[in-house]
Amino acid sequence: MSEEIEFHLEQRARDLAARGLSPEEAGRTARLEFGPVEKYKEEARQNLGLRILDEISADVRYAFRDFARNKGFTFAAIATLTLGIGANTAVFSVFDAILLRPLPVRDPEQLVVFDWLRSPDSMVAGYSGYGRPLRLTPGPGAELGIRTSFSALTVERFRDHNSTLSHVFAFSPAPRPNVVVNGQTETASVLMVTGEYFDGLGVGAAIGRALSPSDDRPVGQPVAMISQRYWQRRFSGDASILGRVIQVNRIDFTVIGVTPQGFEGPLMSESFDITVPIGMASSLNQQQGAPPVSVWWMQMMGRLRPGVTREQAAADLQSGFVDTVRESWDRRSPNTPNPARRGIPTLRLQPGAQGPDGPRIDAMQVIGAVFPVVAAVLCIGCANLATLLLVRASARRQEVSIRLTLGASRWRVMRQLLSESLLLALAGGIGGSVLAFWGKNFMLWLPTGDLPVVDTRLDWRVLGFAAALCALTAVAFGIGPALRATRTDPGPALKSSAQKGSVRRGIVSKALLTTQVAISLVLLVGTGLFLRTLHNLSKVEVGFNADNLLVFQIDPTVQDDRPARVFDLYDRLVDEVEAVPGVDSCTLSAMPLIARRQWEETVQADGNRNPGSAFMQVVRWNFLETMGIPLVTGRDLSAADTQGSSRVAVINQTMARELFGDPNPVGRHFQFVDGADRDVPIQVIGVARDCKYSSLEQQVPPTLFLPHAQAPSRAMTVEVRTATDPTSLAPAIREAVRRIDPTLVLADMKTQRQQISETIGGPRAFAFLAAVSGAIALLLACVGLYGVVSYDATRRTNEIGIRMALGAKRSNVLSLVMRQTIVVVVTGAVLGIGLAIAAGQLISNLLFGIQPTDPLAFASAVVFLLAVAVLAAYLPARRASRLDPTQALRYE
Amino acid sequence: MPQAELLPGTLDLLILKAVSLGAQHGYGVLLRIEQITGGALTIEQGALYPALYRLEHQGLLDTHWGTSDNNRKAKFYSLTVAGRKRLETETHRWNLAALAINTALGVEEV
Repeated sequence: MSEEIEFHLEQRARDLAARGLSPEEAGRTARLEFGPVEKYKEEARQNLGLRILDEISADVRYAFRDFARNKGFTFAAIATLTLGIGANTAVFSVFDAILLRPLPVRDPEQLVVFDWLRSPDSMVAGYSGYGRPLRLTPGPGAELGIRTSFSALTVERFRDHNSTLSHVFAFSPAPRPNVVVNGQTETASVLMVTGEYFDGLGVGAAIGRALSPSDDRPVGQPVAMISQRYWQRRFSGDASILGRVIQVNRIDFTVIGVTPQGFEGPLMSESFDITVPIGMASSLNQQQGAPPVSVWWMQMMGRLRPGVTREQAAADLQSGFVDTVRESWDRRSPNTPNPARRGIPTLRLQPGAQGPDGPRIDAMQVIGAVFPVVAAVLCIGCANLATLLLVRASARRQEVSIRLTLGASRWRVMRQLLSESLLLALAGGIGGSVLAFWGKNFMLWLPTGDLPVVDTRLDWRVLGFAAALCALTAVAFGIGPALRATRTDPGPALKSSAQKGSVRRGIVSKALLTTQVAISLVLLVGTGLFLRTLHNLSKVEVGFNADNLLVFQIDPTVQDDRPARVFDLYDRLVDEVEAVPGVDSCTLSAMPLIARRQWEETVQADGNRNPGSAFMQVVRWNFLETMGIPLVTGRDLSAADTQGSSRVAVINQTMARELFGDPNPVGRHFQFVDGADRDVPIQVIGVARDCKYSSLEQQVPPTLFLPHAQAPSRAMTVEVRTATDPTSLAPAIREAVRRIDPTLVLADMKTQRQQISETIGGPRAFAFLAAVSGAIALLLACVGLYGVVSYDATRRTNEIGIRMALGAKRSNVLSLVMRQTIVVVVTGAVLGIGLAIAAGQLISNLLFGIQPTDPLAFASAVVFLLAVAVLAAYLPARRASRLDPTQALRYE
Repeated sequence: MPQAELLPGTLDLLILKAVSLGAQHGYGVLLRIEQITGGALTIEQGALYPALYRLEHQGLLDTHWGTSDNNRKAKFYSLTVAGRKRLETETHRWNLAALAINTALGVEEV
């Protein structure tokens, strides 16, 4: 526009100059003839429709001035938006990563995971793999466990004979593999898979090719696929990786492909660097060979054909499952006594989008707990914002009326209010994004224990949803009241001044507040329940002395796996560690205690026809003494129990009771039903007091302790009992291990206390979620209460002045202002108690040692809520009661 | 030559007429109006621009950037179809009104 006018002036000047005027005079005349440039520009802009832009910028400037004047309101509104958007997105993102994100494979919703329910008489001779209790709380059904491994027979049968699945595949992690690349020992994890694995998952190769059924043969050239991450980490993404050789347990594998970015195996809790055909299992385990068909050791998944439901597939597979369970059972070790087990385990098909160890089993419960919490806080945020805006709208009725009277159009007034609302939403959105990012990192920084956090990205969908909801609230409640205000005749509103807001508006904001209080109470009760669960877990008697104990893992097989050499190495290692000043004693066990790891075998006690399961420990002879597990009867293991002497074991009280039916079975014998040691009678020499095995919430299982000298085990956990703070001795202990063999890999060094607390990450995470959400909810509710009470007090200043002038005391005024608030809070609390009782049923399985209706949790939540809410209302009420009556009377 | 004040509302009509004879830049529109009115009407030159933008906003004029006779970049205005229709109806209305007023004032038709 300026350019155009400039052009006009120049042309005119030229023409004038051509008529004989001097250049300066021509320019001056041209401008004179044109008239006021800026005036015409503005008119032109207005005519072009640009006026609205100018007005909007004025609106924005006005809004900023107004925000600066009402700092309290602005802060409360933006804080509400920030918390509502940010905290919710952060919480949701983290839980989404843990709970909802599927495997990065093709159509993950078509995948199914197979598992089965264990019962005491299941015809399962040997099991190796993962399991989890069906319920955390003791009670009916607690003895049932969920198992995810199957025998090779079942896998083959399902793969070859079914009409409902397009693919069936299985896999099993290679236990403690020894990986060598270019002569160097590596820390790398190895997964063994059936040939249909990549096809079934729908995962191809980023470069090279994926493993196919033709690769899964025990003979021929062994091939392997490596993960994208391992390729980048170890080989710097070198394209010549194809055809190179990686040694796993001294077998040469040729690399044939690299997996796509992000795919690192079917497990959520573990990523795998190297994938090899499961047909190599016998070669990979040189000592024992591949597990026999009587051992259930492969985790199995399948892909449903289009249109087939899991129920249909389960029905289709049931008969094959029954057959293979029997066959596997019949092919157990021939010389075992024939027990009377007849149970067929219950086969289940579960959604497999998250793999076999995904949280799918309890996912619905957990999601059922997280979603309402997030939604509730979001609702509170919106309700709070609405309350604040309603209060503000009432306060601005007068201003709006003045502007209307002075001739502003309704549309113009509304546009101004709209820009304010949108500005607030924008500020809250920005704050919310920042908080979401920061809060997510904060939550990840907190130790989540065994919650497998694989990949946490901020969920932009949720952020967008939360932000949109808040913006919508801001606009609806920012404009709605204004719309009504502009419709009314400005006259009465002007006269009534700001003192009498409409009664109806008061009811709306009170209803909103009541809801907020109710939801806050539900979250507070949840916090209480989870805190009590944590407290109960921390009080659980572990059965051994967990203080001043440092534990770490070691696997010397990477150097030399001849059993005699390994045993000798451990002996020297223990001596060296015990020589460290400050170390009381050092011992070894095959399984770390309370680390959610378990090793279960079937044993047969003499004098008992039925075999039972026993949880295994292979320990150095000084284990019980070092751990502080007292002997109830008999003798402890000793250094004299060696490979040459007769086989002995110490068992715990539960095993004595359940297997031998005798509290003092010293001198009696038992034997293993499966494995290399089967049918060798082992004598019970002592009974140890019960102690926890794999987790705090698990009831003490039958446990047996075998001497390491008689039951060689390669990878061991080292437990070091110290006289002082165990962490301070960690460097010296590392050094001692290095002196034995500088190439030994020390893994997972931590104190036993840390180890235990990591296993209760789940309840801790929920306690944290509930506490954070509860705090946010309560904070928001208090902001709302404070805002409404102060508004109410201001609105009634005149009335208060009159009452005081007529002789009302301060306490009367206080109770006048507070009365309504207390009604709101109490109503909300009663509603909240009802809601909390209903919601408690949803989380009962996540609790330990208490009922979801725990009176203490309820009582403390109610008291806390009442105290905080009344305080939030008291502050503005006290201000009102301290008014000077003369000023209050004059108040407009 | 006697000069006359522009009657309100007639500037738009004059601009449309001027532009209907071919695309013009703003200054060109001014010169052409002076030319076709025989210089009988005075326009404050600046007032031309709000009118041009108004007509553009109403969709009666189209604009594009081109080069002027002396090779300067300039914004050219041309008539749209709607503009041409408007020119016709306005011309007709003007004639009716002028006829009525002339009759009323007893002026001989030229």
